[in-house]
Amino acid sequence: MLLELENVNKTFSCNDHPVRAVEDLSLQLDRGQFTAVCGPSGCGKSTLLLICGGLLRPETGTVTLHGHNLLSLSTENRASVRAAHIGFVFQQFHLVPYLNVLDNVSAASLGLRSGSTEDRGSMETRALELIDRFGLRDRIRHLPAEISTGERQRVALARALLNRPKLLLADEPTGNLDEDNSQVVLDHLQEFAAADGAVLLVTHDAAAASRADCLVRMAGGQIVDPVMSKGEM
Amino acid sequence: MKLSHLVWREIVHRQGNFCLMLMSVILAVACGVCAITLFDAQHQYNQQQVGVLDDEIRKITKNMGFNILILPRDQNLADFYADNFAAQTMPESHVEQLAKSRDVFTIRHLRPALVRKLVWHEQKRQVILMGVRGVVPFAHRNPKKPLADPVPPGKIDLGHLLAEELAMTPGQRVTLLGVDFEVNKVNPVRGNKDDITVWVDLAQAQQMLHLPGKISMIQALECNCASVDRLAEIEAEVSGVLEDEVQVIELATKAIARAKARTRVSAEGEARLQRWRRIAAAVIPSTIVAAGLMVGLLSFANVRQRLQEIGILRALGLRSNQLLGVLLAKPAVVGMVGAVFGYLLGIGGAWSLEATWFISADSQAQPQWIFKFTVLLVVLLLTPLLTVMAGWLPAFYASGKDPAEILNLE
Repeated sequence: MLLELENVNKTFSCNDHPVRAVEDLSLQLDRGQFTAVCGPSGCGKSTLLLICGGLLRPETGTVTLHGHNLLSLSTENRASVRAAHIGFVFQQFHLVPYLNVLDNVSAASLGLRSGSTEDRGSMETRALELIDRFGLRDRIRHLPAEISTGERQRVALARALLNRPKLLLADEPTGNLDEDNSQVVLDHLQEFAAADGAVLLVTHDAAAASRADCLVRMAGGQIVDPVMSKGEM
Repeated sequence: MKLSHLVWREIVHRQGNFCLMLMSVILAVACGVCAITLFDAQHQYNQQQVGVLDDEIRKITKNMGFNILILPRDQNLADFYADNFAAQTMPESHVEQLAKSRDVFTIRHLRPALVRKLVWHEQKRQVILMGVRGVVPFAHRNPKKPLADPVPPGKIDLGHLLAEELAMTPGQRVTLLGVDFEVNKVNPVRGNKDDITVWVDLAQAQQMLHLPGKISMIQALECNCASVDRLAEIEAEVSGVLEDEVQVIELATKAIARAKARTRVSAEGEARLQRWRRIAAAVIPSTIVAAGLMVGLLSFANVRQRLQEIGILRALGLRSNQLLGVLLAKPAVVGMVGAVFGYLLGIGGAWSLEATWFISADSQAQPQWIFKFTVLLVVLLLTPLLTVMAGWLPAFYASGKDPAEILNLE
């Protein structure tokens, strides 16, 4: 199993009142699996994603990624695991505004420990390959502010794939995109899963969710329906 | 891609923030360096001025001690200062008495003279006539090289201005008060009453002035005294020999004037130095604090602006120490660049102020570039350290931020 969450609980404090964002949640994700998490706003989808990525620490439960218990690792080691094994794609793209397309894609390699990195030349070659693959070659020296939203999301996707992650965590990646660009992004997510990667897509878009192999519905911080495979959806 | 590339791109992207930080550091360093350099310049200038006066004193007093005049007791000093010569006379034998005395130690040379201001009828000029007989040796001491040569009888020495105006040259014959003389020599320019003086043999002068055996003063030259109250010491010795028949006054020499000027310049210089010390002591800490606050505030504004970027870099797996390095690199670069340019600006500022404050308009002197390696070293090491310290708190705050919180906020 690539990713395994067991009995995870996460509570936030809102105006001194505890709000349970994720409650006793368990989830498994294997290689080659494209899973979509659906549900209304505030149901805990994004919190689940951040917990899976080791960016948020639940109060209880365990999160295991590729054999690493993320919660037992130090912040620094968790960051290294994240850099090596996880790719993130966000709705708002979160590109570094002063880096051009090539540098934004290459920035993903900054977190890799020197022992685990491919040499700088090969990382740049891979960045160029990804840029070509996402049709951004003629935008290579452009800043994020100088390209379209669809192109920005493709840059973010290329950045997420640079370190050859095992898990791709996508938080509403098509939320700001038109139909065509959404299809391009979802095609790439599917492609990644087909190449033995695991994808966890958080979305409230039914069309996007329909591209996944499995669907998880959430409400009030819990999984409300059992995991459904594509045939059951 | 390297972290340094990230730092560089950010600096280029947010030039305004970087330039403001840099300017504040450059100004602070420049003010500090300028104050220190001007302090050094003041010190050098003081030494230079005192050195010049020391040199003049040394030249003037070379082979010459403290000079005094021994005048007749009844000579009114007010008249003496007004006329520049003593109208009263005393016996020439006083010189012999002093020369023979075993109780006179402080005076090295005795030179009697009879001086009168008179009209040179033959040339229709007012001149000072000075009858001299050279230096009288002390009977009980080893003979010393005389300070002044006597004028041979029948000869006349002329002051420079007088000889020039009367077109007289050595060897020429002249008549003074009905007596024929041959011009012995023309003295060089001295810039005082000597330039309109004529020197003749003392005996001849006494004869011409109808004052046989009389002199109007004795120049006591190269007096060396151990005590501070040197005049009193010499007067005591002279009075011991001549009792109360004479009075002793100090010759107002150039050396004394220079010595007084030296004391004054030295005191004024020290006062200015103290003022610079106070200015430097006030300027340096206040500019450091001001620049530190500026860098700190601008760093804080910068990291607030970069929170989203910080969140995504953490999500990409950047460790907090890497992030801290990225955030502190900017103040470090500001410190290094600011140190170099601030130093150069400070040195340049000091150089231009040096010309305004230390060098008078009529002076030939040029302001000097004052480089001090230790100051440069301290500036180059301390400035980046201080800017990194100023940027530490904002960087620490940002690198410790929870990425999930930042990304959720977005």
